[in-house]
Amino acid sequence: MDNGTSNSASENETITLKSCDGIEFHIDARIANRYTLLNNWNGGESACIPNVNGKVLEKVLEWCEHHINDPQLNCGDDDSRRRNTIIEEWDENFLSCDQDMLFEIILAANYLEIKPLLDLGCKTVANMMKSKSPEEIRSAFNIDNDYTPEEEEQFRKENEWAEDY
Amino acid sequence: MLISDILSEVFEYLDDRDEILGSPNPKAFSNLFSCLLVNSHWCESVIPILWRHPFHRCHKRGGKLLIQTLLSCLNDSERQQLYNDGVYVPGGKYDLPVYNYPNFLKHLDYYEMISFVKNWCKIYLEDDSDESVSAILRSILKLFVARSARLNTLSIRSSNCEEKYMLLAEPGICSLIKPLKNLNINCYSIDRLIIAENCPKVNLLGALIRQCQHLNTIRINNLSVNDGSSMLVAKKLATLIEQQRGLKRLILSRCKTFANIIIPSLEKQKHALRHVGFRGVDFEGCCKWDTLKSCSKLERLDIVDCYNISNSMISPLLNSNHKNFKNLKRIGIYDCLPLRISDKLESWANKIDYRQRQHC
Repeated sequence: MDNGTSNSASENETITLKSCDGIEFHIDARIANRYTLLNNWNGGESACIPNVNGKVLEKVLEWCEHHINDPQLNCGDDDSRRRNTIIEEWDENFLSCDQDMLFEIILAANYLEIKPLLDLGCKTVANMMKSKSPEEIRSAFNIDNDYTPEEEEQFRKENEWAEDY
Repeated sequence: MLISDILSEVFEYLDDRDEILGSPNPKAFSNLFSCLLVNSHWCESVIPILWRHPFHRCHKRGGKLLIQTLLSCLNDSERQQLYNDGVYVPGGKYDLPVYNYPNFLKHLDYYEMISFVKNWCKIYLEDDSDESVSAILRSILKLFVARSARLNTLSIRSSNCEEKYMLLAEPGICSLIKPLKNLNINCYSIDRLIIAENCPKVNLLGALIRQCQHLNTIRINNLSVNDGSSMLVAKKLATLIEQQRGLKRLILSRCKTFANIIIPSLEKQKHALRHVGFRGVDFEGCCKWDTLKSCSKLERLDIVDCYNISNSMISPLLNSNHKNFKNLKRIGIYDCLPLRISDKLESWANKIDYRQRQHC
């Protein structure tokens, strides 16, 4: 989580993080200062970040490094976070990866409580769903339809009010 | 695929955020509609978001369909009660909804609800008499209570339907408004409620004062002098503000008078208020803003498009030091009149901002 602490570490300080598959990353200590959970794994010889492999951790850290000087978010202000639906060009390019990697990054951001990256990932996925029919969404995300035709019709009917515009 | 918690976060971005930004995206709800039809797992995450403020964005056709779905949630005894009140709700193929939809309601725009029910009555009953509309409104409001909806926000707006508004204060329904955290009031409707001769003691504002004491936010729009009762409305609103256990935000918009009644009521909330906003408020004849100065936890103050502000009113602010406003992080002063006062307020805001930075 973006904990609102200042970046008290100096530019030259580095810390070491290890992914679940044993890959070590030496990163600017100011990054870890911004995100409590990253800081928690700092320096432990055998300590590694479970659930996040090297490939994904590399991407997450690349994002953190790029945004190291961003202003800190005000925690808990969900509405203002979500009001901002604009995605900057760098971020858009950053997340122009295959869908599996995108989901891995989102899950890692959630696990490591890196809120701004989680928001960015969710925004990106939401944008991929916009203006698509249910069938198009299933196809875009490779999802099986587990409704029976009767169930689907019932849900359609009960929520038809939301279809209207 | 993504876990449910994250799916819900994704769907939040498909909610009507564009409307909040002021550029309505009429397809926002239809995006969520598409998602709920993807599969049952997605549906579970979409339904609570879609149904938390269903009256908010529904258009006319959608409105009557919404009422249709809500009525299909009535059980046999609730249908019988409605029948006893003179309304027969025709049954259909989809009488037993899969989800407990009314349970998800968080925001109620009561003006829209009345208008959708009227429309439904006109089309399905061919009878939009006050009796039928009130019976259905009562039935749906009771449905929300019976299905344990925890209302967070209530919006009440301009209307001639005083008796329909009073339904919210009825026993068996008023518990719905008890947990309210946010209240949006457009005053054109409220003054009529106050003077309604058939309910001189039990009126909606009175009920709100009695029932709602845990509000975080009160927004008051269009408070103005319409008739002799307007002063009483303003006083009731002041009492509503005073009665809160810890009001965090007060926004006055397009209020043409009675700032002199509302402002002093903030005194009782001086240790709670975090955000005070005045937009398009006429401060003619208002008292000094001492109460604003005493709001020690204020984090945000907006004074926008306001007029008839005097030197005397703002003197408590100008004479304050940064310690009075040590939590103030955001001050927005724009387009106020007269200009010389607006300039003074702006320079005060800049001074506070500068001192806060120095202090940091």
